Amino acid sequence: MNPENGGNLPPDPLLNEGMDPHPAPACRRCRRPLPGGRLHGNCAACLLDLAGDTEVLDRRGAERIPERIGGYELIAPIAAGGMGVVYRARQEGLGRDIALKLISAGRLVRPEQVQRFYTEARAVARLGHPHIVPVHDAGEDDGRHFLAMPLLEGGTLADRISGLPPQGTEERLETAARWMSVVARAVHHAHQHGVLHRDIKPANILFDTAGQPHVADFGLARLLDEESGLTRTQALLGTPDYLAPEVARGGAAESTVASDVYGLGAVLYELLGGSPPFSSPTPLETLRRASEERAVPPSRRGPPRDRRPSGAERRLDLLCLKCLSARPADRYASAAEFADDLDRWLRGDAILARPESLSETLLRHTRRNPYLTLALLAFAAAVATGVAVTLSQARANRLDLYAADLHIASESVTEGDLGFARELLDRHRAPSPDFAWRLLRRMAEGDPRTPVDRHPWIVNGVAFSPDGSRLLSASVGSGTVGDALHLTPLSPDGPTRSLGTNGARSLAWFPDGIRFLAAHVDGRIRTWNADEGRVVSEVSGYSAAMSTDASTWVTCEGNPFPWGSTPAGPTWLRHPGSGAPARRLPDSRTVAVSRDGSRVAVSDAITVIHILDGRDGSTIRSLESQGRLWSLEFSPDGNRLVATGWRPEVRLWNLGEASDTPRLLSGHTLSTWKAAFSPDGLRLVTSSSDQTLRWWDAGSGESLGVARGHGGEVWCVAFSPDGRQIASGGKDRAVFRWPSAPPRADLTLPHRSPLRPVFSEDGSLLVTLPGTGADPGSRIQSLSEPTTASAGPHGTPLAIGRNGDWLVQERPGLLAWIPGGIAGATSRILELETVGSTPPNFLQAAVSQDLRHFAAVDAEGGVKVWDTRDGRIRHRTRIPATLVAEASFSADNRWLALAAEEHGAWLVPIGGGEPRQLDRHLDQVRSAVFSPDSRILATASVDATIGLWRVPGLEPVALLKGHRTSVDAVAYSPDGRILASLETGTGVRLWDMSTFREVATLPMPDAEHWLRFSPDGRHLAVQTASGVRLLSAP
Amino acid sequence: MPTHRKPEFSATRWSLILDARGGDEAVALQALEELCRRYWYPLYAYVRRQGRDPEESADLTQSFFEKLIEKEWLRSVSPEKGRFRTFLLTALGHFLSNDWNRSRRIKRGGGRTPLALDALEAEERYRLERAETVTPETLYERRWAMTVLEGAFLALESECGASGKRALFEALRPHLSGDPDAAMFADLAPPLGMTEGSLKVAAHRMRRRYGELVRAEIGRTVDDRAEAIDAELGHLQEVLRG
Repeated sequence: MNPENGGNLPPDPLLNEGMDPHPAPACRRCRRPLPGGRLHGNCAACLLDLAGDTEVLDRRGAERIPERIGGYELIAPIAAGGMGVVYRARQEGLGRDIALKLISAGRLVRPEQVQRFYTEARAVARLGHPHIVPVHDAGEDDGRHFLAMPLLEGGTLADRISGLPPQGTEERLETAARWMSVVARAVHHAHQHGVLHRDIKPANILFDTAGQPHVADFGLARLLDEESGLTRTQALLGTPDYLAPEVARGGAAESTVASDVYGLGAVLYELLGGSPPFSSPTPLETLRRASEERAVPPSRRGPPRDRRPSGAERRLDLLCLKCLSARPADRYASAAEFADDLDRWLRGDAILARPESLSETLLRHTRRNPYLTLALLAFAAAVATGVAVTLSQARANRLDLYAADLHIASESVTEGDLGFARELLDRHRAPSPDFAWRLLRRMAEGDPRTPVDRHPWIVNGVAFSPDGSRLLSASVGSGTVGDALHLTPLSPDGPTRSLGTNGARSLAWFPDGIRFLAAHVDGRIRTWNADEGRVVSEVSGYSAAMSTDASTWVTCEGNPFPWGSTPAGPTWLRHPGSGAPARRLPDSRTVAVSRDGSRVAVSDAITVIHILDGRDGSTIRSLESQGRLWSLEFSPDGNRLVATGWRPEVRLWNLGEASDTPRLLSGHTLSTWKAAFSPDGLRLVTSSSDQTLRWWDAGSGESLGVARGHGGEVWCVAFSPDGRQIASGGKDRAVFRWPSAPPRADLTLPHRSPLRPVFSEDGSLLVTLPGTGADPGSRIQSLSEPTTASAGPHGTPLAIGRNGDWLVQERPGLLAWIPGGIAGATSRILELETVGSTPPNFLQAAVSQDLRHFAAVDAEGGVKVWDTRDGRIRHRTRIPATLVAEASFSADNRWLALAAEEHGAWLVPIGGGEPRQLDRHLDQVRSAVFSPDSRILATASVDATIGLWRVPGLEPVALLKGHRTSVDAVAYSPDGRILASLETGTGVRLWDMSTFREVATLPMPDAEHWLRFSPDGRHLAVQTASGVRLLSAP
Repeated sequence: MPTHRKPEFSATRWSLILDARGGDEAVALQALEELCRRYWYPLYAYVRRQGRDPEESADLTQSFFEKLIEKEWLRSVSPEKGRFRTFLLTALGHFLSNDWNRSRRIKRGGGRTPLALDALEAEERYRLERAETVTPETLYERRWAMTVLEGAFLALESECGASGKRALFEALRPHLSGDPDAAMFADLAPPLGMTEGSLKVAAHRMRRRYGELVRAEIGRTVDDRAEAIDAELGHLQEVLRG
């Protein structure tokens, strides 16, 4: 069935005009022909009139409808709104039908209102734009004012939204962009003529019968509200969903071009996201949210999807959100600019819209947290005079784009959409990329794999030849393009050979390694000779399965798509030699054969799976399929059966058990398609739309690991016969080979102590503390050779030299230098101040980068800084007693920063002087570190923000928001370009320090307390519940 | 486990579906399915009118409902209150468009047990239609209006049946739309055991009740406002007069 051809079918004779030889009887009352059938001889029109009896109209009370007004005959109401009711009306004399808007009684009373109404109506009447609904006539009859307009019969945009294709589909995005471009240009035309719309909403956008949008009700609706003396609160009893916040606050007088742009954005938002941006149960709540909140991108609104938003959709999000900026100045400067950006988007060109600026973030923050206002005003001033202004606008735009793209790339990596992440990151390839780019690019690269082949379309099947020397792969195209059957030599490597342009879904080799079966999408199952590249024989069917020795093969003529409109089809057990049908099996859509041919599984793919005897086709048992399925696979011993398709869980039956309930293997996040057992039957690999391959223990069903690398859905997977590699293919058109074991996750080193691990000064080693208690021991891990680790000396490491040739440790009451390699004897000991025989109890200690200073803070708030060359205390001071979470030196050795739980952060001058308190955070400060150039102090607070402060004045530079609960640690990359922050239980975020934007969100639910960059900038070490995880960015 | 009653007929309303989307989706789905059952014939007529043959038309209508009853379609319905009639036709338009079908093929789109529509009955009904030189859209709207009227008839019939007035209903049924006719009342009254006068009153009541039921039926397909019912009624009156 092909709908586009439907129109070409010969017309049904009954449809032809004038073919009815028996005219129907007519209604005695209205003389219309009576319809036959189910109305029992009644006249439809007259029946309907029973429902529109005068009694009904009376219920409208005061709104009795006159029959004619101002030379128009009212026919029927077609819509009702705040202004009044719109009627279909006939213009007397001309006989044409128009739309007549009858202004509700009482809406226009005072003479100046009336005058203003007609002035505005005349202005609109002069607009003359093909997409603005013109006002033909405005007048008054017996005290009722009306407007006459052409009748547009295609409904309103409000009517059409619910019938749009599902959210996120290309058709929906394009329709929305096209409509809004037309609407925005019409609105712009009005703006150029001095007419504001003031009430842009879906109900005011009308469609003609050709499906073109027209903007109606320019200026008039809100004018009425304004002029009728309604208070603002009353005016807001209508929907403020599309109302710019400044208009909501200040009244209609605040209407500007920018507030119309807001309205356009809000309508686009609804078209994309299914509902207006801040829609809330009460208008006041809507207004509050519109002024205080940032709209969620429309792509994230609406029903949960099985696909993530595309790059194009995310760009359209940006475009839409720009219109919705709280500050009018941040929106498009005109409706035309908005239309231009929409057109650029439609053409696939780069758009101008960028994510919200920092100043806007600050502005919102000010509104939300009045207590912070002063601090934030200072921020804004600092931003205005400092960093931001020094950047040219073009550079700022470029940096903004960089930050935005990186952030999207990080989300894509998290979601597993590596293809899109790679595409975004590669746009910003630079000679010396920063840590965030390098880390994300490494993550987006996915796991180690070898590209084998590229297909013209989606790869549906892969199969290794029995000796593993060749790989067969097939793609299934769309219509006439994209079908392909490829053969690639693997050992030795050789060029891929094309075996024609027939797409296939299932592939199976004969034991001779020369012939193979391919179930082609044209409904033929062909036996090929791979060497000669020709078809040997063929039978009909859509899928086929064969035992390893080719003694049992089964073909199925059912369409594999399990929908009611495509019935299950005849299924045959065939003679091994001739391929002639031997026995008919139950009708099915998908089939499987065990390796030894003793068992066959056939399924209608909807309800039932029959396990049959492979020799005589007799039924062994039947299983409920537990939902629709796409493919079935037997384990090598035939005792397990796995079903995949149309749901994320993999269904695994143990046929040796009596239970008919399969074990559900959960891990994939989207539908699974194909499963393959390792030849030893111990492991199972599955492919999924979530772009991953997943390994499972075939016995226990436990998840063993996951591999990422495909840039799209993975539709097929196969094990090599020796079990040493697997092959996969999918929607990115690529075929890959992978190691047969799942890839290792990021390196995690044992570390259980609350004390912090230390990188060596060249970043080649990391000292961790695997034990707990007072002496956790130490472990020295080589980062260049991940398998090399050695036990280190006991004590708390503070610093370690290049190649580990010296180590500085804090021991109770002592600071010890251990030169000449890790195992060397202690060369020098600095005795720290002791009280009697009790060694000092330091809460936090730190050593400066040049090792000249050692600082420690005790529980009473005592702060001491030693000169390590002579062991003398160089500075002694005190802060109020509190728990100190972190102490760190600035690189220029002038400052010590302390993160204190109760009294904010402290900046202690090493050369002497009073500590300066930073008390602008709303809650505890958990971490305080200096930028590598010592000019900025970064603080992480439980108030969920990160503050950046100028040293030494502590003037605010920026406030980074994005964390949700508390920020527990911050660290600068050695080049100062990236700041990393950690939220316990959530993960790590990376911030770009030229724009102060978040560039990556790395979810790590087990992250806790602490993170640090290696001095060479290649690793970010993050403490987790299971040890120190190294995020490496080569 | 208590047995579930089928939702009351009166519970099946477009506005309730719109309201229920955030909450009990199963209820909303069931209500949508119920509404689809009632209003599928206008869609069949529309597809058929576009020149497609009976099998294809039945197939398309059926597939359309399958798609429609999938959850995401329901969820994608805008809370903007609209009319079920326009919603269905717009959605069908998208469904029939080329692009949509192609994308469905590529995405191996979802599915659901189809709404069982009786294709033969549909075609029989369609063949009873007079040959009209109208557009598919107009035909759709007329069939929609007819379906509303038929729905009200069924409701009236069951009401009368329940209150023991089946004979009265059957006697008056063919004359509901006509002008009062003295001769008719004189003929009908004796077999019903009624006087001519009481039959006239009963007829008046029945007509008024029918009018209310038509409004109620329209109310199922639009949002709750009285104006919305009036606007839809006005539109359907136009359609039938046109």
